[in-house]
Amino acid sequence: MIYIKLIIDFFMVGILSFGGAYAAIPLIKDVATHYDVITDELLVDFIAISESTPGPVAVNLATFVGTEVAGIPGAIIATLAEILPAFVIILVFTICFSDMLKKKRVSYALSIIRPCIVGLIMAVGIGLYYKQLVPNLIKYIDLSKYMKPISKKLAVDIPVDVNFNALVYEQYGYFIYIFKLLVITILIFVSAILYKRVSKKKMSAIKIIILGAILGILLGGYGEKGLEYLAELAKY
Amino acid sequence: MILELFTTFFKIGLFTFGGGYGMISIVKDECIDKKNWITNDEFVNLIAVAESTPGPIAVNMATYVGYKKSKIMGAIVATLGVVLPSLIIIYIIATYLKDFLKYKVVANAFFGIRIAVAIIIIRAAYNLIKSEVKKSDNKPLIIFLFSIFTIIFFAIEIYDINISSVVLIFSAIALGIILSLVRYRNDIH
Repeated sequence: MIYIKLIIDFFMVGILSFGGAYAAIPLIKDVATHYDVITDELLVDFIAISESTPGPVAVNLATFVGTEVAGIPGAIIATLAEILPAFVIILVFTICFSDMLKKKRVSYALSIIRPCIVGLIMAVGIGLYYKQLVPNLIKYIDLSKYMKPISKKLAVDIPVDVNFNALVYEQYGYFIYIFKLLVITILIFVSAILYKRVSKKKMSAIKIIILGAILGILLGGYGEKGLEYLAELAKY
Repeated sequence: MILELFTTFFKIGLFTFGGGYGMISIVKDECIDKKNWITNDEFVNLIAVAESTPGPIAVNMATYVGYKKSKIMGAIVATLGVVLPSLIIIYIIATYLKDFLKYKVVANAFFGIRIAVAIIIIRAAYNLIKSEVKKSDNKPLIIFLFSIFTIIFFAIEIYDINISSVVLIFSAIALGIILSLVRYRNDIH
């Protein structure tokens, strides 16, 4: 019985989630209240993990809820139910309308629509980068509480009217944060250019993602030590 | 062919970080630039369709490309391929690793990945608009539309304005239809 419920619930989510993952999240939140095993805390964790692990967020969430409710069969059933509407709609569209798109009028309309869509993609890319620059500041301040040793030293050395307060603390944290962000960005650009020079092909998106992960880990683990050291040096 | 579809989309599913738009740049790489399975135009048309129909873009792309290459079988195989990695990963995390995000190394890796994803999305958008402009007979119009939509969407993104992207996609579609009707108003066919 629980399987039928999962199928119906996630099929409905699949039908109603217009506009990608961020439309699907509130729907899945609603659905999750139907199941006692899914607590609010669990759901918040699920959403955070689904946004960072690979794969569409809506699919990840469906798998999560399915697993929690009914193990592997639940995971498979919820996931398939979630993707079925999208699958059928695109299939019908491809079979029925592909030829229509080649007509002169339609293809002109599409040539107007396409730049707008590419604008959307560009905005998402820039927005993602911008969000790394700004709202993460808040997260980083929280993290910076664990970095007391550096901040104390720094606070002592700053010759302005600062009683070792959050401000300096935050700025120092933000400084390292932005520094890391820029270093990773520059290293990605440099490697992409070198890659193209050497292999005559452009660096694939997947390679860039792997490179990003490696740089993040390297700078995360050792970078902070290095920066602490630099901050020490700067004092003299 | 069926096997190639499966492995390609499995790979795409495995590296789709940061939602549907992250996967757009990977699909462009794998299915257009490397394998020539679909054209740039088809690809952007499909994004318009995907955005105005329900469901994850990744699934829509897989279904479309799969169908183009090997009909129904291809569509099924590509779609299953694209969701399988997340099914496996999430199942493992849900069962064994609920503290996944609390590991420092994971957080650091994701910091790097998010930057990388932003860069590949911008690169994909830049290449797509370059090819749109190149083949258009009205370059200023194309550049104007692209810039206006970039700015509007960006403003919505950062100021958390409560307008769904679906509304803007539909307005783009309406604009396309109107301009097309105006251009071909004297044409009977």
